[in-house]
Order: sequence, then C-alpha cells, then structure tokens
Amino acid sequence: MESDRVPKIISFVCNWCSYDELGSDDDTKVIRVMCGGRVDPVEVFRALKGGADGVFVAGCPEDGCRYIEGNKKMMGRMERVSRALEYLGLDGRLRVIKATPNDAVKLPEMMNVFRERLKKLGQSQLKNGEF
Amino acid sequence: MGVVMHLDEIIRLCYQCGACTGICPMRRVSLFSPRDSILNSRGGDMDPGSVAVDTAPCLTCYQCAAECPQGIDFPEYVLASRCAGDDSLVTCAVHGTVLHEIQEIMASADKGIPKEFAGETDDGSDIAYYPGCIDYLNLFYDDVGVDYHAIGDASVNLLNKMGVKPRILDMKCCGHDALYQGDKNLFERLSAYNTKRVKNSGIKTIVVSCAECYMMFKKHYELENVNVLHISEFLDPDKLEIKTESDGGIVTYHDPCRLGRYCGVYDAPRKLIKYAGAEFVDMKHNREKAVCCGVSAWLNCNDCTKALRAMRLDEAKKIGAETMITACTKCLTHFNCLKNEIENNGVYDMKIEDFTVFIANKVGAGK
Repeated sequence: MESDRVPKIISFVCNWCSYDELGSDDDTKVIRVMCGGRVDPVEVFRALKGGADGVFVAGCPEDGCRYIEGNKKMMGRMERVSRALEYLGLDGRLRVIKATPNDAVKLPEMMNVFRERLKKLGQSQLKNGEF
Repeated sequence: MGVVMHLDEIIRLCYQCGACTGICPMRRVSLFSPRDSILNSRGGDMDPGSVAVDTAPCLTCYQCAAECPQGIDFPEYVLASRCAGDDSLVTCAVHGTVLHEIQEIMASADKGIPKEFAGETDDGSDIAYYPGCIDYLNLFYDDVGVDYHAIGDASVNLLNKMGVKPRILDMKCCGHDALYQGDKNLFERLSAYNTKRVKNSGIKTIVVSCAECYMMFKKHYELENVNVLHISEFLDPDKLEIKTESDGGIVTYHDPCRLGRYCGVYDAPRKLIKYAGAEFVDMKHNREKAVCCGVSAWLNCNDCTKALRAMRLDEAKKIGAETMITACTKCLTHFNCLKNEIENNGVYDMKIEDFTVFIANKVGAGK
C-alpha cells in the first residue's frame, strides 16, 4: 500500500566513511557514531519500538575499519538483528551498508531506495512510541 | 492497592526467625537477607518501589518460601513489589536488555516465536508444543556454545517418537522475564495474546520444554481445560525404546527452580535419564535443596551469583559427573558461560546439556 507518507528512518552512520554525505531532515535522523561497531542491537530495536519505520546502518568495508575490526563486529551484530527482525515479521526494515569514503557519494541515493522500499512496506505497526 | 495489602499481610505473619536468610543462596555470597527486607519494610517504609530496590538481589529461587514456618511466599512479595514499582529492574537486565526489547516489539508485532523445527508437525493436532524463545537465544547468546535450536528439534523429534505430531502455535514469549523484572504491563500484553491464541485453537494439551515457560503457564496463566505438561512428564519411556547402553559416564541432573520448587517436577526427568541407561548420581544439593543457577529473568549476573554457579559446578565435579543435565535455558546458558571462561579452562571438564537434547541423543532422535 503506497501513500504520501514519508517513512521515518533512523540512521546510524560511521563518522569515517559516510557521515559527511547524509543529512538529517524531518523524517530522517542521522546519528553519527565513531564506528559501525558501536551500534548495539538494542539501539536498533529501540528505534523500531519507538516508531521508526526503518533503520539504516552504514559502516566501513572489510579491511577499511579505522579501529581494525569494528566493521566486522557491526556486520555480525546486524546479521543477528536482521534475523531477529525476520522472526518478528519486520524483515526489510533494516538496511546495512558497507561504504568506502569514495562510495559514500552514492549514500543519499541508497537512502532513497531504502525509503521507497519502506513506503512499499507501509507504516510500521509498532506505533506505540514517538519519533 | 492489592500489592500493599499483600506486603502488609506478609509483614504481619513474619516473626523474624531468620530461616529464610539461613537457607538463602544469595546470603552465602552477599549481605542480602530476606528477613531484613521484611524488617525494613516494617519500619514504616511501605513504598513498594523501595522494597523492590531492597530485594533486587533476590533470585526468586523459592528456597526461602519452602523453608518458612509461617508459609510466607517471599518470592511473591518480591514479585509484587517489583511490579508495583516503576519498572526499575528492567534496566538492570544483562546484555543491554536486548531480549526485553525483542519481547516488547514482539508484543506489538504480528509474529512471535519461530516455528521451524526438524520433525513432523500437524496443524490439526490437539497437542501443541511450545518452544519458547530458544531461537532468539541462539542469535544473541551464541558465544556460550549452546545450540538452543536443537532443543526444539529434539523435542519435536521426541514427540514424533511417541507417535504424536505436535502443533506449533503462533505464540509469543511467555512473559516470564518481563514479569520477574517488574514489567507487569508487558507481561499482561503477552499473556493476553497467548491465552487468547490457546483458547481459540482448541488444543487440549500443551507440551513445554522450558522450565520457565512451564511455570508461567501453570501458575500465572489461566488456561482452563488445557493440560500443561513439561516434556519430561509427557514422554513415556516404554514408548521411546531407549537404547540402554551406558557410554557417557556419570550423569547428574540440576533441578531448575522453576520446574522443581515452583512446580514440583522432580521425578519425571530423573526417571527418563535413568531409563536412558545413564549412570545417574545426584549432587549433594538436589531436589528441593537444589541451588539456583543465579540468573533467573536475566537479573543478577554478577560476581555473587558467579560464586553460586561455581559452587554448583564444584558439586557436580565432586561426584565425578561427566554430563550435567538441566531443563532450563537460563541454567544451561549460565553454567556453560562459567565453564567456558578462560580462567576456568579445563577446571570443569563436563558436558552441560539440555534434558531434551540428551534424551533425543539416547533414542536416536537427535541431530
């Protein structure tokens, strides 16, 4: 079901690769983290519980982490979160991106693709919180 | 309010003999005292919230209630004060409260507990199997080295061996952790959904493999006309054709507090383990006196309860156990976690296994 409603997105973005390319607006909040490995599964769940329609996480590609293996930790954690979301019937609401600083110019476009996907999924049913 | 009445009643009944504190496992490793908690609330401080903070170290393991000459249900008092406070203990849960967040999402989401297990299921059966949160534990506690999903596989396979094709209902978390952490609202949302689901499905028997879920369905749910059974009660050794060859050395069984003291299931698991041909020896503290693993409801995973777990594993080591069996995912997680710690490398050389997985391996229904 498509409507004019713009999906609410919380994005956790690594300072070193992606942060410069993305900006916050009314419906998309960009949260700068010093490393993708900083994003705890709890934060993704809390964002969704709080009423976000989707969560976008961007970190550095393999071998590109400033803190040696933060990106590996990020991938491991986010894989678990996406499995858990699948179990909960919320698949597709988490997008994890690995971007080098050079790729980062494509991020706004990726965000748009994600936004379109969330539009198709419709509003999150967990609307007991406030964005 | 009901809770204050309840606290009032307990305070009136207690004559401060201290039997509860004498038996309390937390008292061995900390200054926590059930007797003191009751005395403190007698001093005019009747705010349930402050009682909840005072009794935060309580494991609700039920040892004190079993000992009390006045029949005071101290765990109930702790539960009542936690639920009357403002969710203060939710934030104390271990691992950043990740399971609590999942349970909260689950309460409002469409789907709850995954239903994919090995073995045959039948959507028309009037016997249901409830796996609990094992698949979520598999995701976030994989470093412990336990395959939780195998518990579900083993249970369904064992039920198949009994000639039953169980039905796995679309249910949600039983709400045990939410309730014992003091989030009564979440528990009520989950239990309302589950109760409705069970009643509408028309099932007659629900078989549970987790001690906590079993206790919740028995004590905190109102499932009239539905028979709740732990899998150890449901399995019939004669139908299972257990191979009676002993190969695993000495086997012992750790009574989970939710299954043993709360629900009185002591003999069924022991009987099956003995039937499975294992050389069964009980630990020094067994049955009603079994010592808690220390982490019910994901609370109190700290140095104090670690000492309790070490004491328990020492008991198992003393009788030369090669396998320790338990029927609760919390016990399984925390004993394995302690065993795998670097400083315990090689100290506890035993296997800590779930009850269903052990039996399934013995009858050739395991992986």
